[in-house]
Amino acid sequence: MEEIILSVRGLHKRIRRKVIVKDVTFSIKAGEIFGFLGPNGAGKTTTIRMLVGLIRPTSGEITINGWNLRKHPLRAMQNVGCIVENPDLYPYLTGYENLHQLALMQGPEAVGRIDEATKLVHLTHRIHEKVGTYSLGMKQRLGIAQALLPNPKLLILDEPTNGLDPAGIRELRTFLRELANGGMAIFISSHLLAEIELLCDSVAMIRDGQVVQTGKVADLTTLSTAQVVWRVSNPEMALPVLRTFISNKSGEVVHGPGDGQLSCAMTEEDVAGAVQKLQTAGCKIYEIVRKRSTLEDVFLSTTGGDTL
Amino acid sequence: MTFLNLIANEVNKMLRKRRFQVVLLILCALIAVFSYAEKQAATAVMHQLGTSDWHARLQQEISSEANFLNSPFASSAEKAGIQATISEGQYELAHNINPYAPGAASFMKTFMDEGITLLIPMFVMVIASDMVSSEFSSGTVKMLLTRGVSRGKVLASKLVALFLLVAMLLGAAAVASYAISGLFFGYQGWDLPVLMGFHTTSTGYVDIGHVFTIPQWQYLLMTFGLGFFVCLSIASLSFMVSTLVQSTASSMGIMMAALIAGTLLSALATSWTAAKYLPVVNLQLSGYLNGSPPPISGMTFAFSVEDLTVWSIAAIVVSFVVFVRRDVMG
Repeated sequence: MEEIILSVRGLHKRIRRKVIVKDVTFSIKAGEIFGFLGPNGAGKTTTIRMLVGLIRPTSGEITINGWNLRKHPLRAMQNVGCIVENPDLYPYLTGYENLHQLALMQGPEAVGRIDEATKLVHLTHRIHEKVGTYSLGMKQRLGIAQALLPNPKLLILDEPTNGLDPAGIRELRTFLRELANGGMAIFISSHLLAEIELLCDSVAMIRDGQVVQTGKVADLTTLSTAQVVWRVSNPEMALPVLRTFISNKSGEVVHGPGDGQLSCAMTEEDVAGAVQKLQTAGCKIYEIVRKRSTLEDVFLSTTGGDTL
Repeated sequence: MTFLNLIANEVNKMLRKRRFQVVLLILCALIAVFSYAEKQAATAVMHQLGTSDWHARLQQEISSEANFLNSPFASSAEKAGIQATISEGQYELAHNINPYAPGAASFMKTFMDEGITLLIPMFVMVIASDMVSSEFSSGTVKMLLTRGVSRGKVLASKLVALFLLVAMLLGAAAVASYAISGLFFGYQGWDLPVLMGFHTTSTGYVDIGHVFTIPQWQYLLMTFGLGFFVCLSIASLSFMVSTLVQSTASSMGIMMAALIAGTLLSALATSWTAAKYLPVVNLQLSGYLNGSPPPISGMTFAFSVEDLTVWSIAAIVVSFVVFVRRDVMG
């Protein structure tokens, strides 16, 4: 499982005088779902276009399943399934014909996989209708089927949740997880951090063409402090009790963020102790929530508070 | 194997898009209109002359052309053209050849000889302009170029598919012009004699010393063959424009402007001799067969063929170089 499928090293792209992508480096292992995050215009799409050989990098190395993209572009790309920006479909052909056209380009094995790919994305019942009549979500799914035709080692999806309803997004999540469990490396770009947090194993955050943060999602989101929010029947009474338990003695117990709520930093042991103490004191506890920081918090803290 | 699949894909796409069918439909409609108009014109002339005897009609025509020859407003090029018509008529009278003999085959001849300067290139251009640019405007070019197939191969498949479509278009034009005009003129005329062997001297004078006749079907083979060659050149040029501008509408606009400029130049620019190097004034290759003087003096059959060949090859080379190297942006 530790086999590296995609490795990107020192990727630069300059168009005329403007640097669009600057020194981007990351790698993706087999079975890993990798999120590529950043606001619109940060250089995500330019990076993806370089990964799939649509744009020539000014400098830097891209290696896909051991093949250098610059030296062996065709060998490298035969390991990739991708959607760049939008699923690119011919509206005047049926879904099946769209898949068939692509499969013909990629050889007989791909032709043999058309039905399987169709079934995987649940399009079997509409596959012989013209793509012009499809909803955005169906086009998105057909695009994924196209990308899966060559049985790729690396799947690259640019904003795959665009046009999907909440149920569709949830379905996509399970679906991608299954593919990853089968050993596929998956690269996903998005500007929606909350979505990616649920989906990805690791992320790279990009801003103004530069990677500002990389790491495993689990590590990034537990980096921050252990804030606990209490909701109790009598905050005035609870405040001094909690104050004796706060782990960091320089920390403070404060009211808020909501009505009847108190916030403080506390270890798990201290929380247990405080619960006992409050109950004997006759203060009812309605809710205790340990706040985890989200990817959004991480992103904002690394980039100086700009919103997405 | 994949290359054949790629070509099949491209032809398939063009047919499913119905662009080709629309072009064919327009072609058929125009042929019907032209046939009807020609039929009406022939009847009108018969009424005016009061006789259906072609000798009388040809005689009339020669004398009216001769009058125009003395007009002070006729340019030397026009005079050469009139001269040619007159000598052709005289030859026909002397050898008892009826130039007005009706028939579908004669209509095919006129349609191809006249259509090759503007009408048929327009149809070719409509198909060719879409070939590459439509993939860019719909974004599907990203899909074509990320499947582990080389860019050169993708573009080559498009070019071959285009040439096949042009062949289909010309075949359809031949069948349609025969089938539709036959309704008006009858399905005959393959064996009618057609005059060949005119020489335009450097002074613009048409020499009929070596004129001979061939059966019309032979002439049709030649004029459709030359037409096919001209269409391939137009297809190559449109293909390049389509690759360069990435928008179907603009590439059609550019090619249309070029074609119309070509016909205008052929009519106007007789003194601007450098214009003869432009591909669009060299389209009337069949003019060298039937004796019409070239639009600009100094042009010969070999010159026109070479000129079109050079332009076509250059256009194809430019298309490939640009397509293979270009960054595909959004």
